[in-house]
Amino acid sequence: MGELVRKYRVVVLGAGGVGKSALTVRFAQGRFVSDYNPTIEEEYACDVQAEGETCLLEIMDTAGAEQFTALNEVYIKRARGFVLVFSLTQESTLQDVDNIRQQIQMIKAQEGQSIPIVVVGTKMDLAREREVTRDTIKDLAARWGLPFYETSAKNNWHVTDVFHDLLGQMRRRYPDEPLKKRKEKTKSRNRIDRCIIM
Amino acid sequence: MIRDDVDVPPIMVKCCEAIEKYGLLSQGIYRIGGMMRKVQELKEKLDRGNLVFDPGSDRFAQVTFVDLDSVNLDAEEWSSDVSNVTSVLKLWLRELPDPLISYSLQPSFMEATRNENDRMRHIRLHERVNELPDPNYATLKYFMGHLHKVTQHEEQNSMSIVNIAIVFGPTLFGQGQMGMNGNNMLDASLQNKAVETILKHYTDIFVEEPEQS
Repeated sequence: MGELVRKYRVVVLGAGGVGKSALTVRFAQGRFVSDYNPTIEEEYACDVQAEGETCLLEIMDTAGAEQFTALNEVYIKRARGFVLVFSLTQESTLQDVDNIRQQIQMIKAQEGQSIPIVVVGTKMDLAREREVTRDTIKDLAARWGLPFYETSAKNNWHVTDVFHDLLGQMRRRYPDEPLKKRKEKTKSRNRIDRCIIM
Repeated sequence: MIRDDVDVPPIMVKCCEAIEKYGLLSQGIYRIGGMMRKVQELKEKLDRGNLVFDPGSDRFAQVTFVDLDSVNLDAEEWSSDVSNVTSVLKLWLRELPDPLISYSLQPSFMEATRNENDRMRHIRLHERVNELPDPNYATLKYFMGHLHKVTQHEEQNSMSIVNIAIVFGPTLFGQGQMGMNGNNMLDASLQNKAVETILKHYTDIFVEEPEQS
């Protein structure tokens, strides 16, 4: 338990029902949640290997953007990295991503350029319901200067890529993040899950 | 009951009627938000000169109804994607100066909700609901009736009582006391539990009259 690790706090944000929890749980626990329960707030802790070093990712899964807008600011201030999620089957959810992206830039402005962000399109397996085209994604990726991933939590497509990309960005952006002792949190409202991703 | 005669805000009736007509079977109704641009557009249309607050009162039920009919929610533009209408209604509820469950009564609502015993929680919340001012009571009764209908189609729309309660906890209680330290999640859970309990016992709390034979 006395082991020292570099800890990175990540927050997953996006509109309601786009699949933030499905993405997070697929990564953190390797399973697909098919139930339809909206999230209030859940936290997951994962060991992730990066360049031979074990890092601890603390991933905060949040309620859809509309519900608790007042909390977004708190989440953003606390986090190092951001997973902004939209649904490939609902184009309007890209608008929420854009708004959150701008909110992050405003709040993190004093931290300078290059905030670690990954934009994630979900439900890639629902090809027939798809609304967001490749061209739209290419265009936005260029305009925003952010990496985009198309994923399916159900089929486990490109889910780990998302978090590895983000961890890489965070390690480059905050190379001097101090080594900290692991500690077991006991916040009762949160479920802390432990997992190891290689 | 006299208090049922108090008018429910027409904007709510208008939105709920459209939602019941076009959205009861849509998956994730009330959970899935609309398009921000369309939501804003509809909100402005519904706001513009149509609703006048009575300056003598801060009660939303005192609004004077002028001409809400100028907005046609049956038009393809709104009926084809009812999530814009649900978002407008949620926004309207969030923007009330005093939430539907008034700030002044919230401590007693929270206390009632802390009852671990299901039956006691139900009874105590029933009492708290009865204590609401008439306009709030009538509006809550109408709206819970609407949400009750929504949850009856859970099989098609995936919105169970619990799911609807999570979406409406912060909307009916407001976010006023959300602090910057983010430790209000416990409150949020309680708010959701309160909405869940009221919705679960909707018929008993709002419809049945025990003294009638």
